[in-house]
Amino acid sequence: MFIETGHFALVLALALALVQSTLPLWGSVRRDLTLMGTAVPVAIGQFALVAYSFACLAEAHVVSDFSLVNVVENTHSTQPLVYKIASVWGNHEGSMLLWVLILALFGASVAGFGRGIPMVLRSATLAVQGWIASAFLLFILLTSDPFARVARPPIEGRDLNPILQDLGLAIHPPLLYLGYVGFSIVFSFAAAALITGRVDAGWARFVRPWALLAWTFLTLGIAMGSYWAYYTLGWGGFWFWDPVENASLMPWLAGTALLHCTSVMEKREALKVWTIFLAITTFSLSLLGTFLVRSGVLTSVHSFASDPTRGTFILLILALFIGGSFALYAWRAPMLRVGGIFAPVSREGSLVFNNLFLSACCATVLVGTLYPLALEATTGQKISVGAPFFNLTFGPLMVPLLFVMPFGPALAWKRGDLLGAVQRLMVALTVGLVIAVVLVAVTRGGPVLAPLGVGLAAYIIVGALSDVALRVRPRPMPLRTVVERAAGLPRSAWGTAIAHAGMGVTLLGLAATGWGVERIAAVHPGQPVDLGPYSVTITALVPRPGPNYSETLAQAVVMEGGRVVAEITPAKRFFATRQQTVAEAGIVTLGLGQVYVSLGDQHPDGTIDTRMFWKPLVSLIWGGALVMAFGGLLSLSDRRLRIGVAFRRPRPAAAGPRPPVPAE
Amino acid sequence: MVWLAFAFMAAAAVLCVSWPLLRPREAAAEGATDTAFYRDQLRELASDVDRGILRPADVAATRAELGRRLIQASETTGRAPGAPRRRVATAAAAGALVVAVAAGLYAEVGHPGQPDAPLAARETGQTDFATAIAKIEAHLASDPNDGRGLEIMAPVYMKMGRFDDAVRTYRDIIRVRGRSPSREAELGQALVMQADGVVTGDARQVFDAALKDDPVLPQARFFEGLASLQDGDKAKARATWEALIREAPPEAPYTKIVRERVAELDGAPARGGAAVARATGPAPDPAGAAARGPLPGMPAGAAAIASLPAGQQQAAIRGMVDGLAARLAENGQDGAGWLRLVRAYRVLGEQDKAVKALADARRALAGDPQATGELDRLAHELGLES
Repeated sequence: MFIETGHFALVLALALALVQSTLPLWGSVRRDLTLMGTAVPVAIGQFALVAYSFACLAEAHVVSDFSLVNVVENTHSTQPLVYKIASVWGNHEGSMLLWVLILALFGASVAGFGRGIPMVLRSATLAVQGWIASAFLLFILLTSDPFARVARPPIEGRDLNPILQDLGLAIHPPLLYLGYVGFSIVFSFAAAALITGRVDAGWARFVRPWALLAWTFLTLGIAMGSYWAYYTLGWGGFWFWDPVENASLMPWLAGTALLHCTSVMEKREALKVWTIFLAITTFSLSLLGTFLVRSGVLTSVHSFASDPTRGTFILLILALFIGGSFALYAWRAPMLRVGGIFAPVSREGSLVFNNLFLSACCATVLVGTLYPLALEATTGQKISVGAPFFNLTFGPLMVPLLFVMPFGPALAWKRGDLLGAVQRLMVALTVGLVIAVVLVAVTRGGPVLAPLGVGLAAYIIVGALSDVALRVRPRPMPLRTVVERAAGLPRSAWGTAIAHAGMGVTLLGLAATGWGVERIAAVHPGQPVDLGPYSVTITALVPRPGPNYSETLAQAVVMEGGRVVAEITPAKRFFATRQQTVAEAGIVTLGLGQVYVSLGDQHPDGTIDTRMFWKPLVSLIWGGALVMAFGGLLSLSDRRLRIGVAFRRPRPAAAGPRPPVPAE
Repeated sequence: MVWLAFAFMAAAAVLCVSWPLLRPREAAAEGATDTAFYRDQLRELASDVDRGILRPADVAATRAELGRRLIQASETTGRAPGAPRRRVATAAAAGALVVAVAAGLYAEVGHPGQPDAPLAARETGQTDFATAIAKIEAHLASDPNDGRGLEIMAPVYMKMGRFDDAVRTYRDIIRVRGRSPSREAELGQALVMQADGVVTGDARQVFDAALKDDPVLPQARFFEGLASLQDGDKAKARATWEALIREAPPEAPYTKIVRERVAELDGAPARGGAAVARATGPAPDPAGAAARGPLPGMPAGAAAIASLPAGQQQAAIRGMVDGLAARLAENGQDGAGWLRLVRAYRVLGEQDKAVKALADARRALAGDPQATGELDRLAHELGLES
């Protein structure tokens, strides 16, 4: 009974989404309170139905109900429970249902928690969210029905794709979708603002927490996906500039710019046009990502089975929403009243710089992703745009952006003092420069960019921390006062500093890859392999049965100066149902770096192919993302109102020469 | 019961829509939420001045700006609810729309009559089956000459893929109950299955013996044709199978399959690879899965193979793969064909043949960088790299 009621719930959810997309909108255009009143219960009802439907599908996966095509094709009764649950979204139909579930979740959250939002705005926002939900529910029901049945259920299923049988599948897609789809509500807010014609600081205040929430989840989702690819693909890489990865990076770049814009708009009512534009762009890029991954244009572990009708359908949705929203933008944006004015050198000015560079980065990634696809579609020629292209285009754009990043918080609103900002950042600049110079000298003959990257990273981290330090202790004062001031510093200021420092931490991890060591060799058990400061020896190869696979396990020890520092067990797993072999890398974190061993083929002479890596500081790449996400959450928890106060130039009589202190 | 649940859910959904329409809210607070934000900002500014964080001189301009925004925000007003009759009509129309959309679409996509079928609930039947097998096996161990028990077990072994046991049991049947063409044909099929679909010398002897007594026995003739094909004698295979189709009684269940095989002879084994990939899986009763139409992505040839009894599937697949290999040996300029062949061998578990086919393909396609690139990718994917 669960399956059919779940299916019916999905159909009902579509019916409610249709109501949600019409009545509240009509109400907010006519300012009819009764009609607007339908938005909240309908949005919550729609979420409840989709959630029930999703729970029913999950239940069918857990109890191995092979009367569902989706369960037959993607699970096996011997799979561990966590993978049975994860297999719900480890396939096209289920992942689309998760997509819609999160869409409905954000709609219901705005309905439930958005009491302070003016009714006109909230109703129109929920109506736009209803359009998106209607389109995707229709897509699911017509082309990708997870509830398709099998008349005579088989005894066993076909198992989940072995590459996906990993804890990563349980964590990465839900996090990523919370980010990806979370930006839908920001899009809806923007479209609603354009429709109702009111875009002001209040609007930015209501949008900001949602944008922050989505951004935080997207950051975590991308980092998790990158780490998963790193440990599961056995190549030791963590980012491949694969179109699917780019599809998640683009909304992140646009979302990051958006995040900064909303804070300007809330405080100063400036950058309205930018904010609305970025809100639309971010979700459009999410939709584009969904199209790239779900339409079958690309083939990868993410794309599952593809079907041309699905591609056409998503393309239609894409054209409708992106085209529609930009048309609306073109029509309404000229009516946006210009808000607070500001000098080029000011907090706002630095954020415009930030927007320009992030948008340019995003455009580069877009070109690098779409150009090969377009070329293949029109001429049939296959080209591969990989790391070299992005290193040459994306890299040079990121460097000035990262360099200017610490200046943002150091400048005052409305009109800033560049010299003062440089003074405030003097410590950071010095530390970064000294570290880079010392490293260049010490590691002569080594990689060139790594020391410079580490220097830049150090400058960013110290810059973020010194900014907080100068706010807390602008002049010598007793420790108790410092602690009090630190506690009194708004959480959003802490959030900014921590997120910026997180970016520096990630950069540190990225820069250190230059000093990595890689060995690819066929080794005999017992034969030590030198790997940077360590040596790795595979002591034995043992077979071991798993729940739904059998594996060859290598027992390996990592030695440092004749002393065993760690034991690792890389493995190769064979999944009989799909006749597929998957390598499980053996990874151990030593300090902040990692030793990484991945197995290849076994040879008759007893040797085994291995890839071994020593990756110094590599864990900082993902650690930095966690720090960034923490900064995001901290800032989210700060619900204080933001008012940008422009300070008059410090009077010369004020207590001696000291750097001007920007507003909180 | 299901209908009751549907009715309850639909009622709840309709309530979500109609409740707010039938019970209109007070029109009071609307304007207030719009301006509240700026009032709060002004209040916070004042408190910052009081706490000494900001200087009054600095905030004057900001306060003026906030005041301007406050005035702008208060320009809008809400409208009172409409007449009750209009609201009831809207509620009824919206409710009807919800029910109509849901019922109409569900009628298209739903299967209200089909109950859930969790594995645990179905396994009771399975365990009975397992115990039954164990009982018969125990019985046969004590009385190895029980012909009836042997005849029950032999096809069960075939279905379970225990071909060694099946061959032993069919031999026992012939020993206990005497020779007959059909028994020999069954034994022959078990031998073919045991040899992974190859019609071995042993199997051929058995089929020949069967055909001597019953020259039109379809099962034996099918494998006779397959044997010819595997010997490389396509023409003879075709003649045998076409005769089999011609002489088949109308509505004979096997003609469709044999026709497919003849079609494969005509160089259509293009679906071979995909078919192998699908059909050599755990074969989760695809006939059942196909009842609602073939599974998505399952090509017609694969579906046809899937509809064969488990025994003949392997043989049919083998024939298709061999046909593909033969065709590529003649004309190697078919990148897609090679990819399929390599994949098929890999799926069939024939590592050596897969490696050899890969090498052959690299030789045949040496002038085509795109094709060799694809071969490299495939080799990597399948773990065939040397």
